[in-house]
Amino acid sequence: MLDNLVLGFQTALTVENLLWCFLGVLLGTVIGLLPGLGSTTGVAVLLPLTFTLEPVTALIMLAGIYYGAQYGGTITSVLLSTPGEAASVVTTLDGYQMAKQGRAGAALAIAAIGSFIAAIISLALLMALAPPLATLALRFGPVENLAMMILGLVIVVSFQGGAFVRGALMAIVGLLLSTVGVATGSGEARFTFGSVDLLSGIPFVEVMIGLFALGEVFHQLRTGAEKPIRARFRDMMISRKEIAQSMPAIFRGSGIGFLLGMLPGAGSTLASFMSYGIERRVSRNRAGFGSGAIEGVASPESANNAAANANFVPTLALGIPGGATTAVLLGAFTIYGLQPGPLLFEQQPELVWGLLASFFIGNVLLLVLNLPLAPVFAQMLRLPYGYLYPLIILTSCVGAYSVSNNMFSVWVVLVFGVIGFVMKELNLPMAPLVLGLVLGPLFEKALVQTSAVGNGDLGIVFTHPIAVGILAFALALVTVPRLVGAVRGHVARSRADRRAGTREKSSIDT
Amino acid sequence: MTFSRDTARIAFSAVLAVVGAAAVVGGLGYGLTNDDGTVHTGFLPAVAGGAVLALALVDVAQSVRSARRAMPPGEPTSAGAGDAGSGAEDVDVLGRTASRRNRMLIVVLGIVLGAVLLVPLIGFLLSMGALMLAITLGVERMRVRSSILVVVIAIAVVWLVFGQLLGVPLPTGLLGLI
Amino acid sequence: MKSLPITALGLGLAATLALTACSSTGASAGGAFRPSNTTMTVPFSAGGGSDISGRTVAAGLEAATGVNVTTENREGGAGAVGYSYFLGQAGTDSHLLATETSLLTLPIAQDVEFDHTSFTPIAKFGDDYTLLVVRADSPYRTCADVVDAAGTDRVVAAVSGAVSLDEVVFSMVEKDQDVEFDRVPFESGGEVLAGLLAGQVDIASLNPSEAIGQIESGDFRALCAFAEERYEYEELADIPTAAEQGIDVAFAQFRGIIAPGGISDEAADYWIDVAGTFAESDEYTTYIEDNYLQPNVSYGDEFAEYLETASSDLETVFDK
Repeated sequence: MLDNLVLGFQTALTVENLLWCFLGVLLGTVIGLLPGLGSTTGVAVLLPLTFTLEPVTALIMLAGIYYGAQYGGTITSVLLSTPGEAASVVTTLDGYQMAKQGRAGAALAIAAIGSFIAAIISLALLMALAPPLATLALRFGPVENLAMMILGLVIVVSFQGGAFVRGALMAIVGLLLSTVGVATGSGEARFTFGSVDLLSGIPFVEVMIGLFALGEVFHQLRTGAEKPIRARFRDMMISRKEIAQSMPAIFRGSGIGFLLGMLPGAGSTLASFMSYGIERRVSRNRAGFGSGAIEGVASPESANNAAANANFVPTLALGIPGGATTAVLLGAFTIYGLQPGPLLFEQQPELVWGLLASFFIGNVLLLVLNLPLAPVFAQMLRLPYGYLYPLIILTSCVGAYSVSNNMFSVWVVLVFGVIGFVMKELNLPMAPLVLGLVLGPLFEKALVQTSAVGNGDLGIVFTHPIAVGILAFALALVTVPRLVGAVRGHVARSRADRRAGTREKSSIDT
Repeated sequence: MTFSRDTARIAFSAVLAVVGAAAVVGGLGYGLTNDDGTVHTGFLPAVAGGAVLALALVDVAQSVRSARRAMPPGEPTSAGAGDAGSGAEDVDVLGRTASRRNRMLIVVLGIVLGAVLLVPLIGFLLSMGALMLAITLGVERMRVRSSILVVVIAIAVVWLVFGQLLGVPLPTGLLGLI
Repeated sequence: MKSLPITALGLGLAATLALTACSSTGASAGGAFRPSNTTMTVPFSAGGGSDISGRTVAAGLEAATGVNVTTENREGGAGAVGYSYFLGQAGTDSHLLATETSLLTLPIAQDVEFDHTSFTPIAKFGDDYTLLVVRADSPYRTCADVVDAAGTDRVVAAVSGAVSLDEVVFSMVEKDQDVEFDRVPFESGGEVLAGLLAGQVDIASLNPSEAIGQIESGDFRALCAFAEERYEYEELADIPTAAEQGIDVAFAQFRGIIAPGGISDEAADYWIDVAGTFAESDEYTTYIEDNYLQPNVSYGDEFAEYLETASSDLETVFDK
């Protein structure tokens, strides 16, 4: 193990590799800044650039793009409420609030620090335990996945606190929207009304850009301009206290992220949502969540990055992609003439360990690059809103178009921009809708597979102990706080009546 | 918006209830299960639609109740409450009144719609440039020179990054310029 | 200072104008066809077999033509989205699509507006057969064992889609041997691999390139190849064909490129010509060998004939 690590660093630490890694991180960050272009597209689009390089160098650069793109998406989520990927949706919840309070620099810095710590933890786990972990992850079949999807939905709904009905409603509306398009299993077209564009379903990246980016623009127009944020440069820096305060969230996020990222399919989106949901339950600062809690940024960002690394567990150990981006990377392996599979560690130690070492280096570069840059990026908000929002509209439209080179995507963004505005005006939560939409196809796949494994009987779920355990946990999450709440609510009812006027606000803040 | 937020929310949830009901009907049409009892195309839409219908009705009921309770004091939760100015007048830092801002919102929506409709004619980048100019000059009344500068730089960056670096072929429209 | 970007933009505009003018006269002049910047559409997501094929061919054609060939993924609906979009490109002569067997299965099994005659066939670059694989601890030793077991017990097969290659192959075996497999649907070869590794299914039919890692490591055993002849690749040469075990099934997924319908003969001839150049190159050989394909090449009309025959074969498979 130690020999291998030395070998890896020897491979990765050449001047040439370092340069390409740096270039990858930089290009990745730029791509991540553009809404709609996430790490998957980034890696796929820049793949040809690497064809002339040595396989190790090429993979190192691609890994740099992968990390860079994730961090780039965080920057826009925090500054402009424009998530680049589904995994950064939750970051907008508290990150954007922090930016509005002039603490964008701190939010970006904690995201970089959290990501870095998560990366180091998860890389250590990946190096030490990838093969046994991969075997363990395989025990997660359709049945367990089904239970996991249900748990994910329950958690996102439960972090709406008091607005339970609305949260659940929005999550299931998301699920319902996801049923548009070709159905899993049967392959039949469903609710497409003859439209070719709808065959591939309602695209969640565009929905997300519409709801969060344009919805926020329209909402701001209506509520009126606020004073431009003129925080002093020093205030933009993160304080030592804030870092210490975020540490538990970072460690919890890393753990949850790594666990979920290991499972083929579940991925970073679920990881970021779940860790936020759990943090909201257990954090000391849980009351501050939703209105700019730094833990609310630290936790999903760590989870997100840990999951991204954990995605490499099945990828490297078994040759099975752990997520969309690792699928592209696996494709790249073949192009470089490498055979992914269980023998990769044995046959190509130099490559595997070189890659793992370069993940370390990539994360160090990312931190070195972004920690000082965080306050600089935050200065973007000094631009008067009159210039800023046309720019947001521009990048939203271009980003949407580039997702699938199609004007249909731009229309989706517009429609959901208006819907997002209405939802904001009505205080309806948008995050559950996005998660429902993202999980929908996975949920249906798990459902169809479970029923096929059980030969038509969904009751097979109860014969799988892991699945039963997960479902029991989900049930507890819904019922326990409600029971407690019901008892407390009974006492507080009379007081609440008097405060009916402020009900709107408190229902989302709790 | 002239009607209160509660009314709007009731209407929104009522629409969702209808959508849910339609999904149930559609799902039944596609078929819930195959011959061997495995899940078929209509299963998820029917189940999710049913749940949307039920939850939307609960939300309508809750909103109606809270609307009734809020009625006596006689102040419907005023539009734009929350983030906007504190107390005094509903005027933002740029001195714009609520009704002026609502007008601006509608104009911006119109501009965006118009720009997207223009894409097949004059191409993506030109219509986006026109959109930005229309907003910065027409709506926000920013200075002409700096507006043009911002727009030209933004469009040039998009052209460089998307068109050149990433090879995304942005539609050029009938005009076929850029 | 301030006028600099504007001047630059003006220059850029002028240059683009000049370029567009050039390419349009080139196309309308007739005779020698010159492509402008070309798009290669891949109807599946990045990272899959079609994507690798599309990107390799795009790189090869870029070298052969000297124009940019950009690859774009238009996934969805098991390929239906990409092909339907390509149908709308009729008459565009600088556009290609990395095609495979769903060009034939989609029109038969689903309600789509295209079939293989809607497009201009350019070239078929190779055939990808499948292997029937089981876990190393499976009781089955041959494909005949599997068929026997399916006659009496429940044998669960993984399929990667309703119109996918493995669905075709399993349906052919069912018809040929009069047995039935239960199916668990997955959405990609990678998922099927995971499902089989974890023992959620009993059998899977995978391309050699998808399963070779697990076969070499000893996790999987390949029982037979659904091909006319044994593979010549050293690693696969020991695998008997299905026919050797009394199952008369051989079916390959083809990989090739098509152009939109309604393009000029000059354009079609041009693309066939450069496809030929690519098929002679070292890159082509590497691609074929790395992916364990059979280098069965055909162009234009010959490719069209292949499509016609394969399509009628498939119709009998899906005719339930």
